[in-house]
Amino acid sequence: MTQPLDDNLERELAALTQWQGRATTRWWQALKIARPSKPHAESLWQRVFSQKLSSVAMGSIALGCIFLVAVIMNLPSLSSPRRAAKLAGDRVLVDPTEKLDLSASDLKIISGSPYFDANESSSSVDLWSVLRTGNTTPKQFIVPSTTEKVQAVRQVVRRATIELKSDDVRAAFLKAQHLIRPADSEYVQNSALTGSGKHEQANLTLRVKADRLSDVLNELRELGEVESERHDGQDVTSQVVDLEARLQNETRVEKEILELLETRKDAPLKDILDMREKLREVRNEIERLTAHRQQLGKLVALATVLVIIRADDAPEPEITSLGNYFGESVAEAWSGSLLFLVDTLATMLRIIVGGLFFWVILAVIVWGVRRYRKNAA
Amino acid sequence: MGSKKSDEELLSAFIQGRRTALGELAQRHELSLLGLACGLLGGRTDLAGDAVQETWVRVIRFGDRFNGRSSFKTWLYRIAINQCRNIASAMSSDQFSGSDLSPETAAYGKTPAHQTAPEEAAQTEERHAVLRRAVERLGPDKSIVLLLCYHEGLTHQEAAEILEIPVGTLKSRLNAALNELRDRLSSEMTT
Repeated sequence: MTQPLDDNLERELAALTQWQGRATTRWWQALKIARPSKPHAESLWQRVFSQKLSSVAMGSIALGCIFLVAVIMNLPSLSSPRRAAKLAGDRVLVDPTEKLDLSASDLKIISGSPYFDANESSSSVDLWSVLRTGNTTPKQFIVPSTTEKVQAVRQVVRRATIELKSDDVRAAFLKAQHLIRPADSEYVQNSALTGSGKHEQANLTLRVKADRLSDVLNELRELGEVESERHDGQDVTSQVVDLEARLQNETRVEKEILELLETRKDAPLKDILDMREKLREVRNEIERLTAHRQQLGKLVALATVLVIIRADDAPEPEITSLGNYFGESVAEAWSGSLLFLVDTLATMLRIIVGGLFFWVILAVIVWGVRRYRKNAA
Repeated sequence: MGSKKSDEELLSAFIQGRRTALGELAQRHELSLLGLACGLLGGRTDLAGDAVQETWVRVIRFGDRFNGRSSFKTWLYRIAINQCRNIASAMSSDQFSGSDLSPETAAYGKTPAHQTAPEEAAQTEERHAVLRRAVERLGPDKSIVLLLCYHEGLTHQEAAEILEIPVGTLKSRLNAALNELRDRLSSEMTT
């Protein structure tokens, strides 16, 4: 520093609270996201219209949910080992248990499998002939060799849900968003602040590092009164180990095919083309498995925390059954129709009474015209 | 030519539905609020923006609850300070220290390049960083007194109203804070 700070201390202090950035329009953004506590009066037409809109939105959301469920049902499930096994077909040979280190002795457990023979070396099989017969999954490639151990630690996808009551939902919502550490790849997956007053509610989905889950939950608990808390963990160790094994196998197949292509250059052209086709398939499979493994890795590395913050005196959420929903809908429709009728009558009254002056003028004009015609006749 | 409307009149107009009144209020106070929030949040311009936005949100939502016992400016600053406190409490100390600002958030304190040479700008920035750290170490009570009293556009009377303390108390706290700050800065410079 060229000069002592004390000389210009007051000026420097003033500079600390001077905005030297660009002018902003935060008020405009606030205006877009906030609603005044006293909503402007709206007519019944507007209410009916907005109800219709919300019904359309609800219908769309319901259809979307059904579609989503259907899609999920048809996608490879991450949660069901049976489904995973089914999808993997005959190639799923290793059914990892809770053992974390699969050694040769472990693999012997599955040696009864038609695809596994720990004593058979890959060199004892004519790979060329195997590939030519179209069997792309030769048994010696299915599981790791006995010299290779599948190192794994328990892989758990952790999820937690915490429901809080807070005097100041917005403040709690803001604080909850700041609990994540972006530098550690943590992020807010989604967030929403809805309603106002007693109905104000904040929903957040935080993705935090799995080892920080308990810390984050502790901090969340301080944001309000905990109403409920739920934790669940899904052990995906078997899927991870399975993916690793399959990836190793496919990589080995790729390597062997490449070696064969290199050493058997005198093979017939058709066989070489077949080999290249097999190589392409194997590489596609490697890419697919790699992507799947990465996706699973992300799920394991980052725990999911669903945070629901409600106003302290918020009414309890109602559990709506189909019967209740029907009853409520009919009641709503009935009250809506009555309101419509009342509004129509009110509008007519407004027209009749409010326009009385004009009606009188109109009546006088009509009377005058008729009288004029009568006299003319 | 009409006379300039007071803040309270503008707030009243906004509550009655004139949205542009909020714009006029923002034109008067937003930059000042941003500066104060920036100072209170360790130079984090991004967090300052969030705090000010939250402040306006509260003005929009609870403007009708403004009772006029204090001036609108005092009320607005009080909201802004509360928002800054909320944000600051949510931040852990390692994330919040001004020393590890990300490049995009460290814009505060940088003098525009066209006005000063790079070397001078760097020195200014370094001085600000030292001062900011020293102010932060004074603790929340003293640091807020310092920042408010030296904030442009705020009188001691207004600062005392914002903090809801008598002016005499404010001045004694300010004096104590300045003395401590000088001690800290001089000891830091000697080391």
